Amino acid sequence: MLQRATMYDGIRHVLFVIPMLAVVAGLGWRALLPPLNRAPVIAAVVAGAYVGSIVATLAVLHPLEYVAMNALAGGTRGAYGNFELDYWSAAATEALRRLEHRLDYDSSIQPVETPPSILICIGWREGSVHPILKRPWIVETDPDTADFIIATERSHCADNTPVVLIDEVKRFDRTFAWVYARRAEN
Amino acid sequence: MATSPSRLERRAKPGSAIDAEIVAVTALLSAVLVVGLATAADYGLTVDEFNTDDYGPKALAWYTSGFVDRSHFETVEFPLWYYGPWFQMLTAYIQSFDLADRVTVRHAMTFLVGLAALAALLPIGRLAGGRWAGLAAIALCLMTGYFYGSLFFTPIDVPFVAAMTWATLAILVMTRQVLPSWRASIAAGLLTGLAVATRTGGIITHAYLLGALLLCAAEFFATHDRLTPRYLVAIVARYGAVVGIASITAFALWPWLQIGNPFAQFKIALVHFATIPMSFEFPHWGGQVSTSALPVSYIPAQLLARLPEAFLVLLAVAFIHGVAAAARLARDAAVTWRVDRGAGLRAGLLTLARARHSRRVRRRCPAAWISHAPACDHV
Repeated sequence: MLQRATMYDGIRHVLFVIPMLAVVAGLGWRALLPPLNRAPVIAAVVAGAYVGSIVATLAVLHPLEYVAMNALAGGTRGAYGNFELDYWSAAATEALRRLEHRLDYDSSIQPVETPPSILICIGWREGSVHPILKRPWIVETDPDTADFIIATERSHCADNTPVVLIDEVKRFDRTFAWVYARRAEN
Repeated sequence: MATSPSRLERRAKPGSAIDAEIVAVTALLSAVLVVGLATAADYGLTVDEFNTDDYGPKALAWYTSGFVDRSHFETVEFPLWYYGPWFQMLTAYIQSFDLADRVTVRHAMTFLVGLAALAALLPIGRLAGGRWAGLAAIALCLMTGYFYGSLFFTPIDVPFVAAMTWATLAILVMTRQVLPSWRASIAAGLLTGLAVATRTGGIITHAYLLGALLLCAAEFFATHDRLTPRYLVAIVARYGAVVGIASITAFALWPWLQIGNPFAQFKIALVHFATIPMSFEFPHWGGQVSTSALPVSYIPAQLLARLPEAFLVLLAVAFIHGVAAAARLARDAAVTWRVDRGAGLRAGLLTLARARHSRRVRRRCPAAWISHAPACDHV
């Protein structure tokens, strides 16, 4: 940072410091062991409850665990908008799976053309999303012509287009991907 | 750090046949392994995985074609070749067995490499702090949602975490002895080379190594009252061996270094990442910051928001405990200094040098190790 290096995407570039910081925190744990041993039952209950709450939070966030934020930042709900959380656009794949599943049983949203076209707004990858498609799609890069658009936290690509919101990928009442369908022409 | 053994420590003596901490770590990592592999297919393909999935097979082709196929320099996204491709090649190789769809295999591989990094925290914790520090470190990493989630789909940074963690372990093992063994030096060379061959930032491991070797020399000086030429030659030879083996390893694993002067090639990649031409704004603690003009506090402030509360509390405890221990050592050193200045200097050096590993230091009278001075009895 002192050299003013360019950074983005949270702290993924320095992800390697987290295990080393954890070792330092482990030394803190060792320092706490003697006092904790004076009340082992209480310590175990408190630690168990805390770990349980973390595991429950991660289970709710799955597979977007990486958007987890601590209470100082307001949790994931409170930190939303104050931090870049889903910078990888990982929620787009979940949104796509839900759309593909819905298309299998909901004929009302099926476009006339088969296969339908889709724009998945994963930054710089809109034209190369084929590896994540599980059914026949025409990959589209123009929001004005796609039958379906999946917008993400980093790429709100459906703004100002005539589309209808049909689904959202949410965690703790905050949206990480939006699924839009082209509005039927009258 | 803890001065008296806890109940847990008393329950599992280091010499006992079954090591409770190893059992606990094995159980924890095994459970996480099962959960991780069972859910690997749930994770989305992320921005950098599209291009690294293209980079892997093409980099592998460089080797399988006898260094003829240059597609990974010419038909992949710039500047992928500035990253060493060992993990992408390994993933491409496993993907070739069609065990599952490519994306799932990639996520499983990234997760496995990340888990291997966590496994290294057990010995690192023991060397740095003692029993249970490693288990606590592993648990804290797994409780960090930002870290756990990244283990599946961060294709360059997770292999780098693994390489850096194993390189750090190798350096710790190597510098446990005042004069490192050749075997440990070779291991450190291979693993620091792997770190360099993952990302240019891996070069920082050689700064860690240099610092640790300086502490070895300080310990030698404190215990022998001088640095002998023989010792200096021996330790410099080991440092040179590590650097040499690391350079060869990086050269072998990173094709970009093979197509020109490797040092010049490395510098090109290093300069590129240090001055990466990307500028956009994003939210940070409610304000907007620019990628190219981040506040000095950016990384600590991000950690403050992304690490779990218990992680932060334990870091604070470790910091306070460390400051208190340093103050006690300084006080003891000052007392020893008044009694015998030479012994005080050597005691201070010895204490500082031995802080690089967890061997219990006799804080009450460090000078006694050197001079067996009767004055220490009065300290």
